[in-house]
Order: sequence, then C-alpha cells, then structure tokens
Amino acid sequence: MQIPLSTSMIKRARNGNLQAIREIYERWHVQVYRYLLYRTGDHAAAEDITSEVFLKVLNALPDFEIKHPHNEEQSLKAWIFQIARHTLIDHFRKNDRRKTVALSEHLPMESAPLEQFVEQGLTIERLKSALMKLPEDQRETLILRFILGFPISETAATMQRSEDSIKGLQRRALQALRISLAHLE
Amino acid sequence: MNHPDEIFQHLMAALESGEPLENVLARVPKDQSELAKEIKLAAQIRQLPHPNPEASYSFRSLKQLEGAIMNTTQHRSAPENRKKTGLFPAFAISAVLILAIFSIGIVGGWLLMRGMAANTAIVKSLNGTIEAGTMSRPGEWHALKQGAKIHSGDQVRTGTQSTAIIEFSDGSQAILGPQSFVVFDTIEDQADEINVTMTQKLGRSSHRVVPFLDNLGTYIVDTPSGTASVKGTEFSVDVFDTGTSRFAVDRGEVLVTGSSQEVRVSAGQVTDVDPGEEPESPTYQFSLQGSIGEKNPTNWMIAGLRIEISAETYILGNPVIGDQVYVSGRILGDDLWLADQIVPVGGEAISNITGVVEEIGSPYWQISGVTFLVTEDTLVSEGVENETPVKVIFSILDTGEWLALSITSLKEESIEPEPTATPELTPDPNADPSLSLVPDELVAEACTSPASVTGKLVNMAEEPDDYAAGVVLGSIVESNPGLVNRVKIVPNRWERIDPGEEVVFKVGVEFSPAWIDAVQGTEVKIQVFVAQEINRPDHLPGRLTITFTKNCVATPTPTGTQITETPTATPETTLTPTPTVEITPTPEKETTCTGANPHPTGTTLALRYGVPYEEIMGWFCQGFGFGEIDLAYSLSLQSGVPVDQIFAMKSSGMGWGNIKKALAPKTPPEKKPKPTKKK
Repeated sequence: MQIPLSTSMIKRARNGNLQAIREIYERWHVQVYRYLLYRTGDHAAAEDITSEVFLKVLNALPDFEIKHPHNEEQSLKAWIFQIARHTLIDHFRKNDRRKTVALSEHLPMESAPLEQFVEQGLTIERLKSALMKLPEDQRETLILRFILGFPISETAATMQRSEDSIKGLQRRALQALRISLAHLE
Repeated sequence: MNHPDEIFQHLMAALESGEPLENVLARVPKDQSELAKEIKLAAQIRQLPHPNPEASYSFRSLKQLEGAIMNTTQHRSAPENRKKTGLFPAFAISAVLILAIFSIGIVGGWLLMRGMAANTAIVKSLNGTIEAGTMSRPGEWHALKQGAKIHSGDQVRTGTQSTAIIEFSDGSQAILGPQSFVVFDTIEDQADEINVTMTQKLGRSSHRVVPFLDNLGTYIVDTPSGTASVKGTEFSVDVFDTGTSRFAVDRGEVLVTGSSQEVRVSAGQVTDVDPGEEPESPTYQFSLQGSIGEKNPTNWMIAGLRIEISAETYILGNPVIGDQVYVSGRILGDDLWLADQIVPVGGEAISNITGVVEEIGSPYWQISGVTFLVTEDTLVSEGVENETPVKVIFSILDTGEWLALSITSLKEESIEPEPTATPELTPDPNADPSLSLVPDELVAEACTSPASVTGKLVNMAEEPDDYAAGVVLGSIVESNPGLVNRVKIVPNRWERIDPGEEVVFKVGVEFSPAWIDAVQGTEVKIQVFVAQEINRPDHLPGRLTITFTKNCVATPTPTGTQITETPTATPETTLTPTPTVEITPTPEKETTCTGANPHPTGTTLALRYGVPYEEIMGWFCQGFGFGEIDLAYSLSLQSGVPVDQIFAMKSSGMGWGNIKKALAPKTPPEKKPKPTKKK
C-alpha cells in the first residue's frame, strides 16, 4: 500500500516540513537499521547509529540534490544510505574496529563438504556471524542486494560503484558467504 | 550474455520479479551449475525474517528527530547561524536528549497527577472492517473494535463500506471514510489541549476540531500533496489515487500548505492540491437537487442551472432528462459551476450553496452570481452584509425562482493566534447578574468513553446593566470518582454574559478503564457550577447535576416509516436540553433504496456529521432527500434538538422554513430602560 514518495513531499522535507521528514523516517528507518545491524553485528550500535543517520539526514536535507529527476525517491534513498555508510565508517574509525579478513584467502575451497553445511538451514544468527567474516564490500553488497532487496542500480548508486562491478561483487560475495557459513559449523 | 555474472543477474532479476525458485533454477545452464547454489543462497537470505528495531526505540528515535526538526527549523530561520554550526552538532543532540528527558519527566508527572491514560485517542464507533498496525511493523494489521485506543505511531485503514470515528481526549473527532489509510503520527495531550498530527495517505476523512482555547494545541492533517492545520474547525480531506488532495471546510478556517506556499480556506470553500504543486485558489461549494433539463457532453442543465461535467465528475447510474438528481461541486467563477458528483435521488428538493453576498436587494439577493428570492420568512443570521461569505439553504419554486430558506454567515474564528493574555476585568459593583444553569439536572446514558452532554448558562437578569463578567465554570465528580479520568467543559469561561443572554457549553467526560468493567446501571454524578463571576462573587448560582448511567444495551432503532417520537409543531416542548439519544435507523430494504452501495452522498453526509452510514441511508430509505437529510443534521447541530425529532416535525407536515424558524434560538428579552441604578 506504500505509495511513491512524491516530489512535493521531498521538497517539503527539504524545507523542513515536519510531516515530510517523518514520512522519510518511517519509510526507511527499518532498512537503515537492518543495514547497520548486519554491518556492525551489534543491535545497540545499529540503533544508535540509525538515530545519528537521521539527524544527519535532517541537517543535510536542504542541500540534497535530486540526481535522477525521473526517480526522486531512488535518489533520496541512495543519498540516505550513503549517509549511513559514511556514518558507519566514522563509527568504525572511532571504535578502532579491526579489519575483517577475506575468508576466501584462508579457508579450504573444497566444495563437496560445503554443501551439507549450507543446506543445514540458514538462520539470522548464522547469517550475521558469517557476514561478519566477509570483506566490507562483499558484506555491504549482500546486505543491500539480498537483505534490503535493493536492485543493482540502487546498490551501485549507494556504494558509488558501477553496476557491472556490483554484478561481479554480488557473486563473489555469495561464494564467500557459502564458505563462511560452512566454516561456522 | 555468456558471462556468469550476467547470467546470474538475469536469473536473480527473474526471482526478484516473483518467478518461483524452481523455475529459475531450471533455467540455470548446465555448464554453470555453481550458479544454482548461489541463487539458492540468495533466495534463502531474502526469505529470512530480518530483525526490526524495537518499537519503543522507533518511537523514541522519532521523537528525538522531531525535537531536532524544531531546533533545525529555528536554525533555518537564521541562515547565518546555520553556516557557523555546520552539521548537527553534538551539543545540540545532547540538548535535544536532555530536553526530551526533561519533558518526559514533566509530562509523566502531570499525567500521573491527572491519573489518566493520556496521549491516546479512542475508537468511538465503527462500521465494517477497520484495522490497525504500527509504523515499525509494516504489513502487520489487526482488527479494531469499538473502544480500542489509538496511540502515536498507529496506522488505521478502513475497508470498503467501512467508517470509523476516532475521538481525541478533548472531544475532537476524526471520521475515516471507506478505503482510507491514515497514520496517526502524534497524539498528545498538552495542558487542556491536544497535539494531533496525522498523515492521510488515501481515502477520505472528516474532522471536527474543538476550538483550542489557549492556542497551544495543534491539529494537522498531512497528505502526499498538502497539509491542513487548524485551531478549531470542521473540514474534510480527500486523497485521490492520483495523489491530489482536496480540502473542504465546513466551519472555521483551515491553513492549507502545498510545496511551499499556503492558502487560507474559509468555511464553505474547497481547494485542491496536486502533487508537487501549490494549493489552488479556494472556491465555493454547492450542492443542489433538481430535475435534469438538458444533457450535453460537457454540461447538463439541472434545476435551471448549467453545470459543467468533466472527466472526473462521478455520475451514478445513467440518469435521464426529467430525473431528479443531487449534484455537488464547486463554483469556479462566474457562470462556471463544475459538478464533482451527480446521483439520482428522491425526496423534497432542498439545496445549498456557499458563496459571497454580492448585492442585497428587496426581495432579491445576488449571491455568487445567483439570484435568490428572500422573503420575510427567510432566516438571515446577524452580520450578513455585502461581501459576507454565507451558506444559503434554498428550495426551487415551481416558477423556477430559488427561494432562500436561510442565509447563514460563515464568518468565524480566525486561525490567527488569539491574544493569550487574559484581559484584566474590573468588577462593576452596579451590575447585578442572575446566572442560572438551565436545567439543573441532566441524565444521560453512556457505554463507551468519552461521553458528553450539553448545558446552558443563562443570565436571567433583565436590566441592561446587569451583565455578568469573568464567568468561569468548574466541575466536581460527586459519585464514583474512580470511574472518571477527567471532566472537561468547553468553553468554560466567558468574559461577559449580558442580561437575557444564554451561552451553551459542552461537558465531556473521559471514563477510566474501570468503567469498562462497571455493571449496567452504574452511575457517575458530576456537579457543574459557576466557579467565578466577578461582579457578584458572593452570589453564585446553583449547580447542574449530570448523571451518566452505564448502558451498553443497543438502543432500539426505528425502522421503515415508524417514528416513535411524536411530531410536534411547538418547538418549545422539544427544546428541552436533554442529551441527544443516538438513533440508528435501519433501512427497510437496504439494497433496493440506496442504489449504489455505498452511496457516495450517503458517505459524504455520514462523514460530515460523524454518524454511521447506515443511519443516513435509513433516513434516505424513509423517503427523505439528501438535501433534507443534510439540512436536518445541520439544524440538529445548531439547535441541539435530536435529529429524529426534526424529521418527525417534517413528517408531521411542517415545512423546512417553519422548522428552521421554530428551532431558531430565542432572542434575548427586550432590555427595558432602567430609571435608576440599584444599590
């Protein structure tokens, strides 16, 4: 039943209209939270950063420029998730987070045993744990593409990459995730 | 497309567009079997129930954001400051948090003192399917029942043929029409006022907002294309599939905002706002009933008036020349009347338009380009002169002339903030008012909370100088105070009440949760009294005792033409200010007399007057026209006389002009000259 966010709503949000900003929050705060949850693996941190993201969105809205006039909503969504990405990077910097290790470089690549592990059933906890072991770009691609359901174009816009690179990245990420899931067992 | 990345994306796109996984997997090339594993894993990830933030977090976070919005708005009004502060500074976030905590403390303590469940609205009544959900749990809906509470963040949707009346703590009401979707963003009690903000995404709603006495309250209806903000008025909002919003005002004034600009829409006016656009200039509305004289592709002649038809005009059935129809629409300019809907009807032709008085003559008046016959029987409200916006209720005579039954001024309160300072009143020792609460006892039945009755305070003094000043009403719960959360009197203060003048007030009672479990027949007694009058503070009048008796047994409903109330032509006997009895007439043959189901005009009137759709159609099926039903409810609201009594008067043979005259308030007794001052 969700109707597209209208141009006027976006204009009103830029003008500081309370209702329009609420609409933006209501529309995307759950997705921003999930993005941050799977990237940090920490529920409390995800909530805190989500609040911070929307305060930044609020403050930066007057400067928001619609890059895709034919799809204002997509422009705004990509812009909000870019703010979420940058806020998360700041968060990692402040917390001196250790870099993740590319699993594919360290795990055995035998495919036969992997099947049974992956087929055992995917749960939120297993997914979260497995994702945390992936490189940032792969993890982010999986979150945007398959958890949040972004199309290739929106994923590319959010990550500021080409669509072709996302197409390659999403496969590599899935392959790495299968290995990561198997390694959890 | 031989590259595995491309093939994978192609297959994923098919999966994302809804193609079954099995079908997608069957299309994986044999030499690319690894892709199947990747696709399966992607599908598994997509289907997981990914976590949501806690509902309490979502609400807190939204409140924090709202606090920041207010802060940022202030910054935006001072651009120099904003440049210096840069991105939202940490100290500002801290300030918002501290303020929020401080506010929660104060409001929480205040609520504790009041002992009531604040910040909620209640489903006063509903018909059909009404469901609620929350913003933080999209897609999860549950059925609402009468008496259910609505909180900030709740969203409500109505099914076809379904309506709901949502009542706020001050008695203001939002009436949701069929197939509507409204998000209640904020429901807050603030002092004696409310702060309500809702977003209407689809459908139709109608609103009756109790005037805010101290201008602290807010009532805002937002839509995808515009926003209405009011301080006490009656208006309706339509959100069409195209995203266009229509704001129509019945009483008072509404501020409508589009992309950036705003317009004031006065009583009787309507404005449309298209997505991304500014509000159109407000126009006046009309609704009239008459026979079709001509039918052309772009206009019809109805009741002797040429009315334009557009692609958006809703026409029920296929009325032919000679048929009686009810048409409502907008007056876009001289000789340009545009129909929004045309529906076949029966009953006596009573019509109304809103417009501006252009010329007052004898016996003809010119109002919005239309000539009305005004006779000595026409009821003209005080203050009507040239340029006054008015509502005219009229009937069309056999001669084709439009006979005005009443001309009512629509000049009402402005939404400009009233001066908040109470004027300093000086007692007048020569004034000897005689205030009286009339009657001194009222009895009402109530099932759900809140309930209300209407009382009168009359200055019985006859001498012109014996006015009352600085009058304030108070109340106390005399029996079963544990069943009452609060009592609110609206209005509860008057600067001056002249001799012979009577003022009407509404006493609203919000019952406590214990009321739900109270047995049938349980009584709550409330005393209303004059707490202050400064000219004769030593001579305060008696009390009004209001008894609410719990009765959750359905009220018998009249059916067919059977009207149990004896019609009377002597309004004095019907004007006893007893509480209005809710009567829901049941249509005799629901499907044979209503035509469309739901009937669009029936829905409009049900929303306008906040009564069930079935009640309106019950009168319609008894043979009353929509114009008559509109008029009867309007008169009932103005006079306080139950609507069934008004219909009974009509059934007894009285004409609408005489009924209106009979229900008109009595003028104060003529002030006699006062030879000498008393005292």
